[in-house]
Amino acid sequence: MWARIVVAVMAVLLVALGSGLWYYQSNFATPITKITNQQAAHIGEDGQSANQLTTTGNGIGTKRINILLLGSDNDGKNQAPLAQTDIVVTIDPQTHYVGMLSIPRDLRVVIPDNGTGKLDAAFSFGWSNEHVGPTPFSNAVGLSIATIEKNFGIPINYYAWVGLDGFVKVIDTAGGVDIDAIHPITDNAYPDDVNTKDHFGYERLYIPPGPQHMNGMQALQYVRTRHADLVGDFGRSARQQQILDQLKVKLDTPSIVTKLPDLANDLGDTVKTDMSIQDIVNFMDFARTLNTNKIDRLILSPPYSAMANDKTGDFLPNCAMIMPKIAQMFALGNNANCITAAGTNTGSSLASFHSAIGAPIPMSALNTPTQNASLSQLNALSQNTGDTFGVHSLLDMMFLVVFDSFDATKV
Amino acid sequence: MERAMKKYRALQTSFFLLLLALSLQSCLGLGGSSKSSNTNFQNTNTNGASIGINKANQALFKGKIYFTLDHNLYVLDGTRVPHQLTHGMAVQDPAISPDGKWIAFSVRFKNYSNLAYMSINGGPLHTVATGNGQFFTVGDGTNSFYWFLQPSWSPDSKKLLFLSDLQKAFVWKNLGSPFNNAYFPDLQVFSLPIGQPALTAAQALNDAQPVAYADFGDGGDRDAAYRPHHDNQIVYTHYTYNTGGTQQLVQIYLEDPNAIANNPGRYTPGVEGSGVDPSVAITPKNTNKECLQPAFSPDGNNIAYIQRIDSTHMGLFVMPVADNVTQNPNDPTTASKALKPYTSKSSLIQSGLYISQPFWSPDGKQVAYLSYTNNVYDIWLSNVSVDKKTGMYKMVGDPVQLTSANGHLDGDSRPAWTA
Repeated sequence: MWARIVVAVMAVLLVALGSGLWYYQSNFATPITKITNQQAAHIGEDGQSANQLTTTGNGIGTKRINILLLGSDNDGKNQAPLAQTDIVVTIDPQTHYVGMLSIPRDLRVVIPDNGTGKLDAAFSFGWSNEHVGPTPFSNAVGLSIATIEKNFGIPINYYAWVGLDGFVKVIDTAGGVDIDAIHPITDNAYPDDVNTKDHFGYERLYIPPGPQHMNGMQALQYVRTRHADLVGDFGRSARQQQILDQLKVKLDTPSIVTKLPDLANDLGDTVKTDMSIQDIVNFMDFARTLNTNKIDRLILSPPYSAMANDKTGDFLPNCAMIMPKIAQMFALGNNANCITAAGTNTGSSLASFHSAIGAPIPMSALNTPTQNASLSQLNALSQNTGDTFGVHSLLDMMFLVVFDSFDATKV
Repeated sequence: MERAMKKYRALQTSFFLLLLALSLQSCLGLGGSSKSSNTNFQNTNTNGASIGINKANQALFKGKIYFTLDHNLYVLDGTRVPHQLTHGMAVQDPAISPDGKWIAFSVRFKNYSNLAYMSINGGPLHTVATGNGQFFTVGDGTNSFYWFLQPSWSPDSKKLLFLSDLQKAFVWKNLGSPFNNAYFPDLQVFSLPIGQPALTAAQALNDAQPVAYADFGDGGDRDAAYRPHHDNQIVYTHYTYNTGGTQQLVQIYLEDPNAIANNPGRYTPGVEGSGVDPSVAITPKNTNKECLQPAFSPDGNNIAYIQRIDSTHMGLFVMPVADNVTQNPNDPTTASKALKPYTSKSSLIQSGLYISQPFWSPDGKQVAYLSYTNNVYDIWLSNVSVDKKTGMYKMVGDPVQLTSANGHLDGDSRPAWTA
């Protein structure tokens, strides 16, 4: 009698496990494989390729880690993408200290083996130049990491990259958002850099106030624009919170379960990291517990930088202010660095940068095959209740980069 | 004992069967309509979209209602069959001329918009002004594009009030830093005559009369319209940050449309509290009482308006509007008089999720609005009357849903109603 019961239970468990594995393999394994464990090329501070890819740490444990968050348009159909967002997050698990350094894309830096230029160009130069990485993408991330390490002395342990059009896809998959726009939004020079051929272009925005439906692109515009807001980032934060609140409503509905495979696919081509899926889940679990009011924020906008008087639109770092701050934030001691790259912009002034970009590179260059997602991954993730296959954590990581705020991880 | 157990199991089985039946009924959509008895939606296929119009007697109305679905212009008359008037243009905010001949609207394009009008029955499009332009330098956002939005008609049906950034390149040095070198992209209220060839933005700038200024950094004004039977008054919503720069001040203002033109140099755009204002507020300066989207009743004596309740809920109110308060708007006594109807005579008609964009029936007996139900916007009708005891407006009966547009009705475009 008992033997029959045991056999029956085992059979049911096997069927359930098999079904779960089949469901995972059918819907999530491919996108998660495309997202995770994507190693960046190791590029030395001299700009020369080293012999191996960067090696990641051993997970988020007890030692301080620094994570580079990159955001860019990922439409590489016509030219190499720029990194529009560069954020370094530092976490000391022992003291629970969390710092967040936002580096403006226009900050003039030394790009290893590429002279000086805007920080956003490091990603593009890496993409276009030949280095050791298997793909233009791994080279792009590698050169971005090398640029941060050379200019500031900050060692990077991990990276996470988000394509802004992934945010657009996610919102569209969720069915758009309905919000009451707080006030009219005007922007005479909004960056027209998503799903476009000209990454240097601008467009004009006008978003009327009041209740309205927004698709993914409109929602992205609503949360990114800041030019015409009297209170700049403060106004932008309020708008971002509206979108996050709406997303929370959308993602909390039971019907979202049916859309999880679509959301995973949306993320598949628009999020890349060298972390494992379990690392991401751990990182986001940690992020959700943070008191965001206690995060040490530093943005290298004025007075930490000042616009150059050479019509390049570059901002020059104010090293006297930056050095002590990053030394403290990243516990760098004498290893903190800051390069006053006040010389001529040799790398990425807008005029010269167009010609510096290489031939068109297809988006497929992003898709680096790595090891397949395993059963152990599935088991590990299934222990995280409420985060089916890590999709929620991947979404939160995307929002963290797009919104430039840990508040976004609480959706 | 055994008998009791059998009875319990039978009850248990019956209960589960009942639950199963109810679940199936729910899944299969059986068991009658979930809608109330005042709705009888009949679908119409239009431009590839299927939308429902309520054919129940409770949704009867007189005249014609113009609205946009996916930013195509439609008209609905007493037959309650929608007719499409424009195709493939991004139309917003239709407005009917007082003489009943024309319908004006804005047409959106990437980077700019046009002001246009046509016969209320459709037909050739007349462009009043185009905001088309160009970006000047690669990597530089300077450009010659302009917005022309939210038209409304002058009482003689010969001019349009509209919103524009026509003066974005003006330098208002008297405002001081940081505005003396900044573009002024916030939309302000202007007027232009119709009936001439389409104007470029440069020509429009030459011909347009500035009517109401905006404050810097909050997007500008909205909802400008003449007050019926009061040719010397306009109403609009004014958006600005409070002096602390952290909270929104959203107020409805009344103004003499010629105050700026008749007093050259006296008024300028600004920031909250920065200068002399040609307008007078008819709703309070209170960050917790954000009032917007005014719509005058046909007799010009009352406005319907929206007041935000929280981040998703809004109230539709009606209140009378004071007379003779625009001649001396900066006088404290006048300002107090202008605000009095809000504090003493404003009545809540309806509240709910994203209630917005109110508009009146031509006879003033109904107020329509957009409401957000089942995750989409639709038009609702509400009968209103004046309470004899209080003299305040009240809703009569229940509001009735007129459309079931399946997400095609545009929440960002206010419908219009004509006889």
